[in-house]
Amino acid sequence: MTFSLATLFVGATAYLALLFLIAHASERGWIPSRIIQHPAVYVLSLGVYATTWSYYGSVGFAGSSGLVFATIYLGVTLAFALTPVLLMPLLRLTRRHQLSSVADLFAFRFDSRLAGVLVTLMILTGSLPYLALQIRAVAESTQILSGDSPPELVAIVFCIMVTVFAIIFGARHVTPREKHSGLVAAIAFESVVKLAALLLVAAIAVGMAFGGLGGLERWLADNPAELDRFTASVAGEEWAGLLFLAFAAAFLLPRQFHMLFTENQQDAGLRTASWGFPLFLLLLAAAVPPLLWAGRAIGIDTPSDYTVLGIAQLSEVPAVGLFAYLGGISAGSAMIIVSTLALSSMCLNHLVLPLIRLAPLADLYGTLRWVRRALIAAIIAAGYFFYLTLERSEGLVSWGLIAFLAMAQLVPGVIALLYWPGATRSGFISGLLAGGTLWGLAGLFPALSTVGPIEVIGVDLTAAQTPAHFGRLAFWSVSINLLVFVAVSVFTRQDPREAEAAGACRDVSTRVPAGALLADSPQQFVEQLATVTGTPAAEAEIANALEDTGLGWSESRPDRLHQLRDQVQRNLSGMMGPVLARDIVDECLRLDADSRGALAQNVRIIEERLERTRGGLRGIAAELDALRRYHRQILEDLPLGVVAVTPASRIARWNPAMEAITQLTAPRVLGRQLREVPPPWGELLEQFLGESDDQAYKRSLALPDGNRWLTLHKAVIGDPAGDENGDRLVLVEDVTDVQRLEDELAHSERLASIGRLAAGVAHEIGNPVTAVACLAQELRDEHIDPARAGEILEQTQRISHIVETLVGYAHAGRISEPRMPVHTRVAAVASQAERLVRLGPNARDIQFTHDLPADLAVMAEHQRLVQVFVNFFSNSVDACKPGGSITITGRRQRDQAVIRIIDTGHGIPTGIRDKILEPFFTTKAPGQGTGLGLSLAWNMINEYGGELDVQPRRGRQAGTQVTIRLPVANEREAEPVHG
Amino acid sequence: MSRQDAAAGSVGLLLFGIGLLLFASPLTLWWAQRSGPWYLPFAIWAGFILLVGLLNGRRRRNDL
Repeated sequence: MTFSLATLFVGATAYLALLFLIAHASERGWIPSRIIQHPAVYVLSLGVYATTWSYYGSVGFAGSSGLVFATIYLGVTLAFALTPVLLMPLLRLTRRHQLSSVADLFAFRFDSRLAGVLVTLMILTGSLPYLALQIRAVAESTQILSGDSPPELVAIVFCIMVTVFAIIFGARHVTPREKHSGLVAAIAFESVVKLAALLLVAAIAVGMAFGGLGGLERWLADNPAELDRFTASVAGEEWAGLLFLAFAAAFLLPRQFHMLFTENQQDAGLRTASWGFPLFLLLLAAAVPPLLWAGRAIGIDTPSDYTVLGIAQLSEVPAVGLFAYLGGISAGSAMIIVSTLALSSMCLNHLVLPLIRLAPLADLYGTLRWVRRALIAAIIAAGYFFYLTLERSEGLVSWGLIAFLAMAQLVPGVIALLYWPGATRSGFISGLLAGGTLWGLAGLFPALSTVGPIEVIGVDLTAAQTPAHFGRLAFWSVSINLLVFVAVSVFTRQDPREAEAAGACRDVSTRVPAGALLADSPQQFVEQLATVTGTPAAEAEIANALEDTGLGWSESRPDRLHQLRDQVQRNLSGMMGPVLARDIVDECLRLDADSRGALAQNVRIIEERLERTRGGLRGIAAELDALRRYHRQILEDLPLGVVAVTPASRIARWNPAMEAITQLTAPRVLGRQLREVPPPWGELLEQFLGESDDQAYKRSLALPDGNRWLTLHKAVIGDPAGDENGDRLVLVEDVTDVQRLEDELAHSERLASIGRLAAGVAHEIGNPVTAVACLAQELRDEHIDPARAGEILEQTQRISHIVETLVGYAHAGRISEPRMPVHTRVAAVASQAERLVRLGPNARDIQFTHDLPADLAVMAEHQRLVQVFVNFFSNSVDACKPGGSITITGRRQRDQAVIRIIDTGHGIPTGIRDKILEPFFTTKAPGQGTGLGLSLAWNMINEYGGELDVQPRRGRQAGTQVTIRLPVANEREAEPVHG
Repeated sequence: MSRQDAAAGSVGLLLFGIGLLLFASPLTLWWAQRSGPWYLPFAIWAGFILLVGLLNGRRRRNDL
């Protein structure tokens, strides 16, 4: 079965058009984001690892080398088993510092442009033939299916379409902060296509050749040599070498690095990939042996590298043939697209941008985008050129292994990057040059030339490009690379910037900014950055960095501005590479190296970094960190407010006690100048620091929730060298409670004095009152004016009772004579109390209504009960407006008399309802009331075993209802009633 | 490295060690030379992937 060239051309074009549609639909949001961002899509996108080499070439590789073909997948499985210690740290590092390629990674770690250039050149050199291989595979597969001569047109159209796709969907954003969801979705779809195609063809092959898996088993039993030859290769010398090459390629190949790290959106995706991606590869690999044996059993005549297509042709089902062909297209196109994107990013950052002088550009983003697009086109064009010059007889496997071997040279660097902070730039570059030279001489060069045998350290540089050759070469090149790397690192020293980068890679960087920023605000950042990037890009970059750091345009705190500067550098790194980003930031956002780097100013930066690196400190550093935490905790737990102020009047420390006193959180004030701290605190601290005294006792501060009293102390902080560095420490003690206690104590002392005076007052008042009473008695006895004399007598008795009660209250219940409750009629008491109250001027316009049964009597003392009623009536009269009324009701309820005094006054405000029975509590103006009336009444009622309840009137009417419950008196206890 | 990351790292190293034992040690020769079915290497490989998935899954359930 053959296909016409037109059919294959239309099929391939339609398939690539479908890719465009999927990518477009993803970016437009037509496909739900929960599907696009699902870990399974991410895992499938990693399937870009499987190129035409895996899709077509694996069968040929398995035919010539047996089970060794599986090392290309097993090595990846081993690398992904190391996800927690290898891939996850790399993911976090690339995300944190926005490193978009392998070259960025090494340029960042070794702070070296040369390292970036070397890695880029090596990867580019290793990858271009590999790209060419994909184009060749597409062209040859078309040739096999069509039976025509190599179709250059198909190759050219294929290259153009993948170029357009890569430019549209892979180079849309210039920063790795923005993910290309369309690209990821399309590559995931390609993985599904090639897996499905390979499994389908394998199933058809087994069916055609053996009639099923049982038939395959029988065929192998009949041909035991096939299985023996297949598995015997495990003992070969190439097994371990290829396993190592695949291990390195799993995450260092440009396309793998790009999909694994640059396009990753969440950690969960990588965790799923640690088993999901090896599973995908297992399914691909498991299809290979049945295809191989089916091909042999059938005896197909296509080249072994294209067994998949041969079997699809034999099936005589056009759809299967076309599907198998599209599987190859998908493998080739995915590899070219993603590899080109990664290579273009590396070339842009490390080859192109350092060569062109960046001038203030009107549209930096646009320029970067177009340069990158041009690079994509140039790389694919170079790949096509290689395709035209490739040796036709070269197997698919060799070029793949040459690329893998290039990546293996980076393994020592990656391990050092993650786990050897002492590795130096010179060591890495030397090792890379040594290993790279051997790779070039014995791997790349022989593949490109036909020079005679050249032997170096036991390796025939021009030997046949067999897997065994690459296995040996992997061992020697990486060993020499590692040896040189370690040796040179041991004998060379890192410069401070490199040491800082090494710390940043392990997230243990505690660098303190070396100087003060010249810019005071984000707006000044824009002005300074605009000299290189142009104003629009500068504004956009500062806005992005502000958003990333959660800061605002009004920010002026130096430590936050340093944080903003670091973020700007990270964001620029994503666009232009770490070295150029650092150069730009150092040049534009300059630091004043002459200014003294006040430690206090950077305390927050240092502490935040130490918090992040807590688990990374070892030995004495860990001990010192523990000591630091202990000392900091002392300050944090101190029950006094602690404020450290720099010489520039900026706040460097604000402990939790200070937060509690001021209700201002530390993040709100740290780094701010004192004058920026909300009133009255900033003003208070500024004023205190300006004073000559080191202490300020009980300084009063008016706050919305009342007055506060604070005691302040200050000191100048000395540095470890013994000099004073000018930072000042203020201790703030809230003594409000102490002040209030002292006030209450003074009040209590006054009350106690009143109590002590009460006895003397009673004695002094008692004598004249007795005299007045005697005179009134005489006036009554002489019948001159008996009524008025009687009232005078009643008033004098009342004075005597008041004085007696006051004395009793002051002695806290110690009454001189025991109380003798007797039968007392309530109606008579109420009437007498009313008469007394009516003597006052306010009661004349108040209407009193008595509704008391004449026989209602309680066990009490008449005069004291009159005092109780007088106190309640007086309060009611004061509360009522003229025309108001007071109603007194009474009834018997079991053994109690319930007496209610209800007025129509303004009632008792809710806030003071609980306080009205407290002694000396009054709402009246000074001199109008003592605050003792209700308190005394309550005491008296209590003494008689009664209860008192003061409530607002029921319903919505204004007024107060006083309910008095007293033990009811029986008739047999009746005695002559007073008055 | 946080305590959780350190624990995950230990699991990763353990898995890598098991992987090396299965696929890059004399044990590899032993299972390759057994006269088992053709899919034996793939079954061992699948078992290893299952182990990686299980240990990673166990860790994820403990994540807060």
